[in-house]
Amino acid sequence: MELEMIIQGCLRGDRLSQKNLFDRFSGKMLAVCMRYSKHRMEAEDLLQDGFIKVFTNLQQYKFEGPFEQWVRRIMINNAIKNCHRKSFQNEYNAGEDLPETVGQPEAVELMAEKELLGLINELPEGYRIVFNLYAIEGYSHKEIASSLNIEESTSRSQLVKARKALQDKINKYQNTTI
Amino acid sequence: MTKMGQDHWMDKAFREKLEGFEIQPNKRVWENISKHLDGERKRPPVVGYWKPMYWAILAGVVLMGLAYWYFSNKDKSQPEPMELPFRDQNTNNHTGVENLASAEPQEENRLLVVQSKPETNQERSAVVNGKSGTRENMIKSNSARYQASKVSSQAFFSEKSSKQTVQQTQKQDNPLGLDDPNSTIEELTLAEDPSQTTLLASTELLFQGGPNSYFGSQPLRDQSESKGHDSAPVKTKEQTLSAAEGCNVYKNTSSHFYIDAYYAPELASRSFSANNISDLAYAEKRSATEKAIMSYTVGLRASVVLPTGLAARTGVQFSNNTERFDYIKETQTITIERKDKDGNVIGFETIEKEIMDQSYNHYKYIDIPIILGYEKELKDFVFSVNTGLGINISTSQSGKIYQSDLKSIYNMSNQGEGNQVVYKNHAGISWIGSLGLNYKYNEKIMLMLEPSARYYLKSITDESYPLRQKYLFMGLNIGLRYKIH
Repeated sequence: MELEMIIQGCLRGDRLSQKNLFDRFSGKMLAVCMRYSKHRMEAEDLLQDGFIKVFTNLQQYKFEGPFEQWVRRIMINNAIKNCHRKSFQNEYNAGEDLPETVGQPEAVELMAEKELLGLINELPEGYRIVFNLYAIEGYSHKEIASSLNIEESTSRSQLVKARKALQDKINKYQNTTI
Repeated sequence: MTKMGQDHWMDKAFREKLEGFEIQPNKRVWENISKHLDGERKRPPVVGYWKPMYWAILAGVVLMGLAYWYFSNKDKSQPEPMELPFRDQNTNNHTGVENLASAEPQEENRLLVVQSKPETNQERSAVVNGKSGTRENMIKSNSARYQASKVSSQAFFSEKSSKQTVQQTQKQDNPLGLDDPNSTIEELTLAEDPSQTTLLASTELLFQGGPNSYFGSQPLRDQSESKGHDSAPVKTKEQTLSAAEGCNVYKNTSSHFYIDAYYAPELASRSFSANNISDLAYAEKRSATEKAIMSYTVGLRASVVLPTGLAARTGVQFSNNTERFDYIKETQTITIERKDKDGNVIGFETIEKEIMDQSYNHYKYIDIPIILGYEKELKDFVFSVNTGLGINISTSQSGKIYQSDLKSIYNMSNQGEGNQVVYKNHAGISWIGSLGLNYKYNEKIMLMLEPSARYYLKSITDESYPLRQKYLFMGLNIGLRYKIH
């Protein structure tokens, strides 16, 4: 069934269309939610809340951009609202002096997606959110600061710390698998 | 999204690796979402579903009421019917006229306009009473009536224009053998004070006959025909104006017979209910998977309308209700191999994909409506209120629905052939109601506009079927009414 037909069905409140839409996007969206969560249960809660928002706000989608992006945005905003403000406190300039992480892209290549997700999940919440928004979603520090209601400098420091933490985890992973 | 600058190797590595990655959620997630959406739906569903229909009904009733009010009061600006000056046959005195003259002896002249058929017939007369009350003139013509009405509604007019009015009247016609029109016109002088001008409009007395009628018991049409008028009025013979109800309300003096042919686009409102609690999920499944698409009714009926306005109608009508059935045609299991960078298979992932399909279900009814109504005839329109019963003589269904196991598909065309019977062959009795607004196109034909409702009192499903399925149809009958007699 065409996506537009499914969306129209959802707008009419057709349960079968809603199920179809859920089936079509839930896999990708759960992967998104997983990146912002500490564990799968939390991610599934985010996914559930996110899809309820998708269905209840579907009339706001104007068929102008990619639907998947629109759904993803809802999931991310939902995740941001769910994060704890205190995760970003007292971070001014912290981490600015940390050394730049040394490039080991091949190490990441060797790791499975679930393993990479595991590394992200282990990050402190503040690091995790900023890293996801900046590195994967492509937000700028200004946008992140605006979304999270924090200073841009805080966003920068959180990102640097996140990279450093991930680098350490990747190194540790390599050491244990070799 | 507006990030500028060089991509960090780690950002790039993570983004590329995780892009497009999927994790199938637990079934519990959808169940929770579904429950939540059910909760959302349960609050407004009935209201939400019925809301458009309520508004449609309300709008229809209000529109009909406004139309009735408008057309029945359209000419209320004309003067109220006044006491009719009439000829005393015994004494041959024009008693009413003389009374008026004697009541206001200072008046020089009076113009009395008698209006019998406001629209189509347009029989008009002007009774001109001279100063002494011994001379009367009756002037009949369309323009005279128009001008006189115009003058009366304005209440104020000049002596000059009044003269012109009557002058036009007499130039066109002088059917009652008036004196020399010119001499009459010259003597016509209306008082400048509007209160001294008397205009008569629409009275039954004149046209329904009686010993004191100007025209006796013959309606004006006969009068005009006897005078050799080609443009005969349309309804005078059978209809009279009711003074009590205003200028535009007609009363029939004999029964009429009509044939109505109509088409009605309809909104279908369906309800499912389960005989047992265990079948509630099935009721919900059917409700969620079958959506109303289009309904219509076509019909032919005969009507008899009594002089009192009471009407009886019967005929035959065919209705078709189309619904769309969305169902899962098949479920495909897709297995995805997971490989490392060297191409070695490191795992498998299975995804279930549901392939959807649609079919269109048709529910067809043939009913015999037996309707009682009341009609009110106005100048241009006939309003009617109707209610009655529809006796279903045939019901048929085609298409597909889910079976009670919520998975199997049931083909309605095959019911009864060793399969479970789902629907009855007769939907039974339905209640029918409508409000009619018919526009008189000409003497024989009216254009019908009739908001209507039809509700099947019983479920259309068989007793052995676990669900009850009932329908209410709201429509707008659009058609033609042909007057046979």
